[in-house]
Order: sequence, then C-alpha cells, then structure tokens
Amino acid sequence: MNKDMSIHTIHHPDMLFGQLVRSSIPKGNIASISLPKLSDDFIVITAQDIPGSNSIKVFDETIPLLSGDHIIYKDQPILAIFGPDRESVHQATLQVNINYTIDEEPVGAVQPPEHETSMSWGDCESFFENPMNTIEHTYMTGNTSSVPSSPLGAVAIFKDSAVEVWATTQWPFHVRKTVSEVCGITKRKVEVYQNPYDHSSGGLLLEPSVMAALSTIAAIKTGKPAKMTSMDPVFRPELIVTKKTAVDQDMVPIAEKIEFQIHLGVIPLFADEILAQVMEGVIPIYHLEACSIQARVLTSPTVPRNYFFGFGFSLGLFTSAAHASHIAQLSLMNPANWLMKTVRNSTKRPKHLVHPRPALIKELIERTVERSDFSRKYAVYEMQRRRNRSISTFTGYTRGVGLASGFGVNGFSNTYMNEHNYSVEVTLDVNDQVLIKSSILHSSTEEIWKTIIQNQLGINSEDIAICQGSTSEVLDSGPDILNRDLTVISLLIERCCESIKNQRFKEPLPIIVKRSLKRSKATNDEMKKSAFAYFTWGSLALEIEIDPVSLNPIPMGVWITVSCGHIYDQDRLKKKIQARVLKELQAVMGTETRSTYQPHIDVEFHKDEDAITADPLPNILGLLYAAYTSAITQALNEPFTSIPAGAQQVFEFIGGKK
Amino acid sequence: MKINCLLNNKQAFFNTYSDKPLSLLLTEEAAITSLQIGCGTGRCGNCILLIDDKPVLSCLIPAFSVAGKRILTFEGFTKTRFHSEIKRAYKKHQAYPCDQCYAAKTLIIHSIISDNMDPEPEDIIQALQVNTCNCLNYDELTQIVQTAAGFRRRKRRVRRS
Amino acid sequence: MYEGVRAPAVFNPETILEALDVYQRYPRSILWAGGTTLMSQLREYPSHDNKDILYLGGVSELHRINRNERYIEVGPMVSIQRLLTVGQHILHPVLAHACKRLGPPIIRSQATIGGSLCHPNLRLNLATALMILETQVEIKDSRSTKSSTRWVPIHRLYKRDGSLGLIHGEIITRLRVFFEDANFQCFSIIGDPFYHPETAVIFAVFAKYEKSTISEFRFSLSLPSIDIFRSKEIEASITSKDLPLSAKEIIAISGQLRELLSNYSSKIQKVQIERSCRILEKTLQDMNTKVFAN
Repeated sequence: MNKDMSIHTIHHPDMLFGQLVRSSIPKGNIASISLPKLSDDFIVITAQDIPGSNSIKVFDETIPLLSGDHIIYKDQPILAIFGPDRESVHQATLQVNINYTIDEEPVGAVQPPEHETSMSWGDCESFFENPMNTIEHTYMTGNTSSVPSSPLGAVAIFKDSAVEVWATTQWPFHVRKTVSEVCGITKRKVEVYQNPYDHSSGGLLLEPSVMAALSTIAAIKTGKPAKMTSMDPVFRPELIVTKKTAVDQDMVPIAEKIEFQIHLGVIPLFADEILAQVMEGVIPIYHLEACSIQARVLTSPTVPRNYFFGFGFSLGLFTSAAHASHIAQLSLMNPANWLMKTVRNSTKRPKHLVHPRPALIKELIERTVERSDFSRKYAVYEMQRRRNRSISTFTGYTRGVGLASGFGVNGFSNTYMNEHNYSVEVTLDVNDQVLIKSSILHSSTEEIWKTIIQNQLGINSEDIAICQGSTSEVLDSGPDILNRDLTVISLLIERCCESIKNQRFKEPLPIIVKRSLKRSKATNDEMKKSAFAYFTWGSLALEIEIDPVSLNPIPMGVWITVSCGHIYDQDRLKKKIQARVLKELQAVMGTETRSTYQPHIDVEFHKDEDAITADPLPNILGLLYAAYTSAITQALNEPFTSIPAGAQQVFEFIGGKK
Repeated sequence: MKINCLLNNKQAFFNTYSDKPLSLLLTEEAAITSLQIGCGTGRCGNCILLIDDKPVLSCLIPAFSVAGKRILTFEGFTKTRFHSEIKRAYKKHQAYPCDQCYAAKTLIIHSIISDNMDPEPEDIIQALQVNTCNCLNYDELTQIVQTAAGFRRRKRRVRRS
Repeated sequence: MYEGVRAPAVFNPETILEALDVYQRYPRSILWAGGTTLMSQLREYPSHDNKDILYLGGVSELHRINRNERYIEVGPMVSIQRLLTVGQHILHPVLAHACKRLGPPIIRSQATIGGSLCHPNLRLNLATALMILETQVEIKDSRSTKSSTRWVPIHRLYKRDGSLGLIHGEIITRLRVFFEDANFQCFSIIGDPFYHPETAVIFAVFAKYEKSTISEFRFSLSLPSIDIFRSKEIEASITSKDLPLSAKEIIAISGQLRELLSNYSSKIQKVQIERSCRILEKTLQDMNTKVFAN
C-alpha cells in the first residue's frame, strides 16, 4: 500500500465493511433499537461497545462519537454495522428500526453565551447621532453544501496487539489520538498512514477520525481488517452580517456598526478562531473614525459545519468588500476611484488588526482597472442602470461590472498558533540527499518545499525526498487547514535550511534539523500587534451579463491582481487560482449551472519578493463573491447582498420589482 | 452473479452483485487504482475507462453488462503505444491534468483522436465536457488534443512508409 | 462475500418475443435500457427492493434503424449517439439538437432513446422534440397470451398528470418519425433538467410559413418533473399570423402561455413560468429575425 492509493482500492481478503446508522430526528432520546437478524459475520457497534472514551476532541471542543441514548443533532451517528461486504451491510442498515422520544424543545438556532465577542474604536454612537447619511445592508451567505470530490474513509488492521490505520485525513496525528482514546490503547500501538483526500474544500477533520476509530473497534473485536467509507456532503457555516455606515456629504464613510452571527451547527468547532477570522474579514479597508463590532456564534441541532477553507474569512471579506461597492455606487463615483480615495493609513485602527497599505491597494486596483477596461464598462453599464430598464427578451443585454479590493489572511490567528506546537524536520544525509519529515502531504506544495531547499542548499530536486511513512516516522505538523502547508510549513523548512546552511561543511553529515512553531514568549501587549502573520493583497474585477431568458447571471470575465509574497511557481499558482475561481463561480451562481462553463479568467501577480509566501485564495474568493454581487447590483439596479445568487434569486428580484 | 471478462488484456473472473457499478467492482475487487471514485453519479467524469475500445463512465455501467467484454483501464492503457503520444503532448504544452482527473482526461483524449485524427475544437470541447475537473482550461485541452493527434498522424505515416 | 443478500436476477433476452415472455413471467422486473438514469442515483445501490432486471441490450430488433422516403423508424435501444451519427443528414434539426443537448458523446453513447422517453419521473429532451414531430410509437403488450401490438402518437405515452402512461407489461418496440419540411425549427434547454428539474424548462418549436404568413406552428414545452405541454389554442393563435410578429403580438402570446401555466398546477415554480414565457418570446423574435434575414 502506498500513500497515493485511494481508500477504495485498499482491499484485504477477509475485510469487513462498515456503515453508520444516523439519527433521523434533531433532538430526543432513543426509546428502543431493533436490529435485523444478522449472522456471525456481522458486528454491530453502539456506544456501549466503545472500550475507551465515546468522544472526539478537536482542540478545545469535544463531540460524542456515537450518540448513546440521547440525540443532540439530526444525522448524528448512532451505531455502526460491519459485515463481509458493503451490499449486505447496506441492506442490514436499512432494516435497523429505531424508536425515539422526541424533545419538544425548539430546534432553531440558539446562541451559546460563551462564544460572543465585540470590538470597537472611536466613539461610534456620536457619529450616528446626527449623521449626514446612513447606509444599511444585511449580507448573507446561504447554507451551502458540497460533496467531497473523492470519498472519505479509513481502514484498520489489528495485528500483534497493535493497530495500523489508513485514513483520508489531513491530520494523521488527530486520527492516532482519537483511535487511542476511543479504543483505550496507547498511542504507541497506533500507526496511522495518510491516503489522498479532497483538500480543495479545506479538508475534513472529524469524519476520517470517526471512521478510523469505529473501524479499529471492529478490527479489534473480530481480528479482521475493517473499512468504512462515506460520501456525505460537507456543510459551510452560514454568516449574516448587518452593516450600518454613517457617511459624510461626499459619501465618505466616517463610522460603522457591524453585527454578525455565524451558524456552526451543533458544536461550534474552532468557534473562537472562526470569530477572529470573520471579524478580520468584516472590517472594511476604507478609513473609519469609529467602528463597533458585535459578533456571536449560533448553534442548532444540525451537523457540525465542517468547511475549513479560510475558517469563514472569505465570507467576512465578501460582506465588507460588497458593502464598500454599494457605498461607492451610491456616491455616483467610479468604485475604483472611490476605493482609492477612501483607503488610507489610520492611527485610529487598533494595532492588532491588519492595516491597509494604500499605495499597494492603489497599484493593484490600477492594474485591474486597466486590464479589465473597468472604467469604460462601468460608465456604460451605469448609464444603462440609471435608465432602470427591465430585463426583457426584447431589449438585449443587461450587464454589470463589479470591483473589489482587500487583504487576505493565512493560517491561525496568533492565539491558536501560540497554543499548539507543531514541527518539521529536514535531514541532509551523507550522500547529500535531503529528507523532509512532516505530516502534511500535498503534491502541489511538495514542489514548493523542494524549490525552497533547492534554492537554499543547492541540491537537485531529485535528491530531495519527502518522508511518506506513518505517524511513527513523520513529525506532527498539525492540521492542514488554513493553508498551513504553504505558510507555516514552508517557513519552518526555510528555517531548517538556514540552520543546515550554517552547519554544513563544519559539522559531520548527516545534519538533522527540527524546527517548531514555538510558544511565543511575548507579553500580552506585544501579542496584540497583529492577529495574523501571513497576508495577501488583491483586487478583482468581474463582469456579468444577466441572460434575459434563463435569468442566470453569466460571468463574462474575471480580472485578478494579487500580491502574495514570493512565488515559487507562477504558472502553477495561476492555474490553481483559475481552477478554484471557476469552481467557486459555479458554486456561487447556484446549483443548476452546468460545470462546463468557462469564462475568461486573467491573473496577474504583483511582485513582492521579500514578503512571506502566502496563499492568495482566501482573499481572492472573498473579493470574487463581492465583485459578483456588485456586478449583479449594477445590472439589476437593486442592492444584491447574498450568495449564492443564481437565476432563482434574480427572478425573485425582478418579480419583486414588478 | 458470475462474470467473465478481459481486464487489461488478462482474463478476469468476478463473483459479484449483479448491478454493482463497474467502478466499485474494479476498485474493490480487482485492485484497480487508477479509477477515481468521485461522485458515483456520472457527473464528475473521473472514472472513465474503455470497454471494447469505447470510453464509458464506469460508475454508470452495471457489472452484469460487462460479461464477455474487453475492459481497458488507465493501468492497461499506459502499456499501449498510444499513451506516449498524449504524454508528449502534455509535456509540449507544459500543461498536465491533476492527479484526480489525469487518467480520465488521458483516456478521453485517446478516444477523441482514435475517432478522428484531425478533430475540430468544438468536438474536442464537447467530448471533454464529460470530465468536469477545471484543472486545465478548454484552450489548453484543445491544444493538447491537437498536438497528440499530430503525433499519432505522424506515427501512422511512419508506420505506413 | 454478499452473504444473506439477494442480488437482482438479470434476464438477457435476445428477441422481442423472449423479452415479452420474461416480462410476463416476471412482471415486477425493471426494464433496463442504457442504464444511465438508473445508475446515476447514488443512494440507489444496492437497490432497496431487489427488483429483477430485464436487460434489453441483447435484443437485436430493438437496435434497428430503418428509413424510407416518408419516415425513419428507430428501435428504442438505439443510442442517442448512434441516432445522431446515422441520421446526420436526415434528422430534423430540432431532433438532432435535442440529441446533442442530452450530454457529451460518452453519455450519448450509453443513453438510449427508449430510456430517455421512459424515465419514470422526468420528461426530457427527446420526448419534447419528438412531441412536435408528431412521432408514432409502437407498443407491445406482454400481458395478453398472444402479444398485442399498437401504434400510438407519442403524447399518448404520458398520462394527463405527466406520468409515464405505459402500463406494466408494455414495451416500446419502435418509433416512427415522419420527414417533414419546416421553415423554422428550434430547441432550447434552460437550467438542468436532470439534476434540477424543478426550475428547468425544455422547449421545442417547429413552424412553417408561406411568404410571410405562418401556416403551421407547433411548440412543446417540458417542465421536466411535471409534464410536457402542447397548447392547441396557442398554436392556433399563432398560425395564420403575418411575420414579423409585432412586439404587442408576442407579448399577448406569451401572456396566453403564462395564464395557461399559472392555472395548470401549483407544482409549477414561478421561475419556470417566467422562463417558459421568456423562451417563447425569444423564439418568436428569432423567427422574426429569420424572416428578415431571408
């Protein structure tokens, strides 16, 4: 077996296949479970069969593995059935009969008090007492789900009182810890290997660990290898942001009140980090004399939201960039000029927030405007908008163009980064060959790591290997969420190389260097300098046409300019951006859009060789959503404030207008 | 149900569930690693293989319908002389499909140029639409297909002469 | 492997008579054509009800294509791709377009005409296009001791509520599409009829005009999960009108359609009604343009 093997292809002669039986109610108790008559080849695992702890820990949060008698959310795993083949197991799960006593409690979203935060600067209220003008909009990101592009799963083999686990996980050490705690065996006796997984949507954390733990119990109880796979959809968090902005007579913002709530399902995993990330996203880049932000997390008896791509930063950025576009449109100025006018340095903004770089933003906007011919298009479509023409099959096209600009963050905020300690090891051996040991494996980032080593140590790419062993051979580099493969790990590899460079030709080979993100010794005040360590800056223009027959908003072109530090492979990054933008456009345009549609996507990089390499995607996606809704706003002459936005939403808009 | 077929030019025998999707049958019971089990509903187009030289989405093919058929997966295709032409075309344009769709795209390209060694861009795009992975755009794919078709034409001329 | 599970039995008849015989003996079995629809339902494998499978792929009579001067006859097991290839120069453009829009060639090679017409819940491309071509369908019934054969117009294949009208035990064995000249034909799909039928619309038009007077106008409109419509009233109100149609006339016709759909069923989504009216307006404008161009 090797790490490139899909979990589906791992097969052993006696292997058992497992499937979960989930709750069909959101809240209540299990009155009785009736199981079908099963032969000895089957094994049923309920909460009572768990030898260790019936829970999974993810940093500070704990979630039950199997429900026990009490159900806390819809689709909660209740039991697992393992059997000799997937077909008979599936038939068996269909025959499981569960009776519930349903709780009468409301099942809507509630607000747990512990996950609430606020921030402010300046005296916001005074600006709202007698404002020249206020602009208020509520922005929403809908409850969207996506099916992973490849199945998730785990295989467990129990041999000589030790367990070998294969899992489609982004964090093999989390699987090891979970298996060890759930099965009540020491970590030393659990070896976890990684299989390829879909990391495009942030990678899942819980599911592979759940499947690994249950497969291990089945493997231990029967002595046979056990496997579990799933293609269940992944749900994104839903965000609602209300922004109220006081502006002066020139429509320049002075103060802003922001309230947001983010819905995370039953257990708010990473709640504080998500609040920190969204908070950074919702704060606009334009200058404000005062600002107040109220933020809270909502929970409900639904599946935990599991979309880790950017931890909601992109969604927050969408709201701030879209709001900026709406104000710019009301100012009757070209949004590019409006943005360049309103973004400036400010001493009022708290130090721990990201501070806009006006010169860089200006440059990025100018390049985007020039390549997209934004100003001309904006003027033409603005004229069309002011005529307030309806979308008719007789009058031809209805178009709009949107522009958004802002920054993006990568990695955990400082709070998380300082709480956990993850490492990478680089070895230069006697044959002048290099071995990297890290638990994060991505073929695309591996090339970047090799380039770093090639540049720093002058070693050929073919002499650099990445250790692909189990948890006993590699080091715990933490979860692969928030582009840590690129930002944190690349940085640690660079530091390892620097150390090897200093020791090389002085010390005997092999030279082994291990680097970790250490706990900061900084004081609380110093830590507040900046919540994030890795930034990107970007500007994006998008042109759409509303099809007068289907009412679909059809993107005509996307122009992106980004600054994301040193770029190791421009072509590869450009393609990655184009592919991801296309995928997101299809998602944001609504479910019925055919995935074969390909608009022109132009990407240009702004050179910033000295800055640390960071992934520009969280930034670009936020800007994409904002430019998309701004373009629809111009085309329909009504503020459009939610995503996804497809034909159904356009129809509701024009229906309302009628 | 018992099924005999020719898998990658070797006799294969399966005792399987009659309407099991071919993609699952081959990955679970024949250790075929090149098939990407994606959506399982024919939407992603990552599970393509050739049955009697024609490309099919293996997740939409029931096991019972392959009895007596000739199945060629990407593993088998890499051993044919046709693979190198497509590999060379990828290299020439420095554009490679991602790990997820490499096998599927390569087999579709092969089937396009097997049908027509001078394909029109419209036909290329239409054929490749079955695979929805965005890692390469249609311009790149059209160029790759036309280059690979050129290599195949040249090879055929050489073989004839 | 497969312990305690009964996999569906697969019957593989080689003639229509054999197929009818099996169907009579195993009336609960599923008729299996190309299988694209049946296999694309992720949660349907392994099937819950274990119905046996009557696979029609081996029945050579169902794969035939015949033509004469008046019509083309096509077996229901003919793949969409084969129909396109064989009928390249003779198919009505509206039918050829409906075939092409069914999916990429790989899907078209697997999908069959019979499978597309007999989807239990969806009325898709081919049914919409064949409806305006007034196609005849041959149906054989396996239930009577001496198997009976009848020819029906394609719209009789579906019930008034839009569901499939074939009675259990009946098999489609041939389709007959008549050759007929038209001055204007068009086929359009809006949305995704297969995965999101609740918002999708399929539309086909077949029209003749002499000089600038419309002598015949047929249109069919499929709201895939609901029904296929052909409104004789709307067709009649367009026939005998002079081209180009004025904007006022087009809006009046589209209003007629809006009224028809609004009163038809509460299951029709408003966005579907809007799209249907807009596609009709657009098509009538395209017909105007074509007249101008000539």
